[in-house]
Amino acid sequence: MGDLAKHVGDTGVLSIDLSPDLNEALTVLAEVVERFAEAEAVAGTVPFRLNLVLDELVTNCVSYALRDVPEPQLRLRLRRCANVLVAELEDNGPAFDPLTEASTPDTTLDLDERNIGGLGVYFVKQFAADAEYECVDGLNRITLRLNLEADDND
Amino acid sequence: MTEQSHLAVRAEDSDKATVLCLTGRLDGTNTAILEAAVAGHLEAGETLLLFDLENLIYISSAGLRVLLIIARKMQAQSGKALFCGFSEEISQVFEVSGFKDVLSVYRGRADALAAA
Repeated sequence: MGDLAKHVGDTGVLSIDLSPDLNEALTVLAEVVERFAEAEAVAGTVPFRLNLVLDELVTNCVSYALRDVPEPQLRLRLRRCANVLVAELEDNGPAFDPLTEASTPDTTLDLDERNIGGLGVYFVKQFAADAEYECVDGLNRITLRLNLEADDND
Repeated sequence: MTEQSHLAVRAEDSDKATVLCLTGRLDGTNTAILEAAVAGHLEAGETLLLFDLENLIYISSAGLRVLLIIARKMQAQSGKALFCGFSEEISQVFEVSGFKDVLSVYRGRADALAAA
């Protein structure tokens, strides 16, 4: 990952294509988030939350949406606009809006009843300030916004 | 090429429980590491496993799932899994997911062992 720095341009926009291999995509994602947070001086719980929401979306995308796509594409763009981090994730899987079509888990059930799964998209909605889906030129695009914490506003 | 996030699991014996200290990240790339580390303790029929998450810097829903599965397996054999040492971020994840109410969660190792 030594050449990752070149993906962060002078304008503070990072753009990277993630592998359709889950392990590779997640390890690169973690590295990208860490480097971006360093470059943009983002601290507090924001890097963790950014990693988490992108992890959940990338996992769903690679495990389901892109599974049967002959030439899978998954592109991540990160940028900072004043006190907001904006993350865009684009894939060329079949048109699908995970934000409305995924069910909301019942977080009140006990150990035996608790359904394992469905938490990923719920985390996206809880840990991002805003999540939006659109279909653009045949690509699925999810745009996430995370507000920076007071400590980052120097 | 198979890539994995770093996760180390170190076992320490205490009077009451086996303490498993997790260091690194627990995500969809490496849940098998934790499952393998716990398998022997489950098979041995241990009744108390304390997971110290103090040095865990990241967890995703895939990681949470594995903790839930382990807690269920322990309960199924009349044992119990305890969890302690939460960072602010991981504490939020436990809170939002509702796992804080489902799993046996304590502030520190001493609190967990005292309650066991």
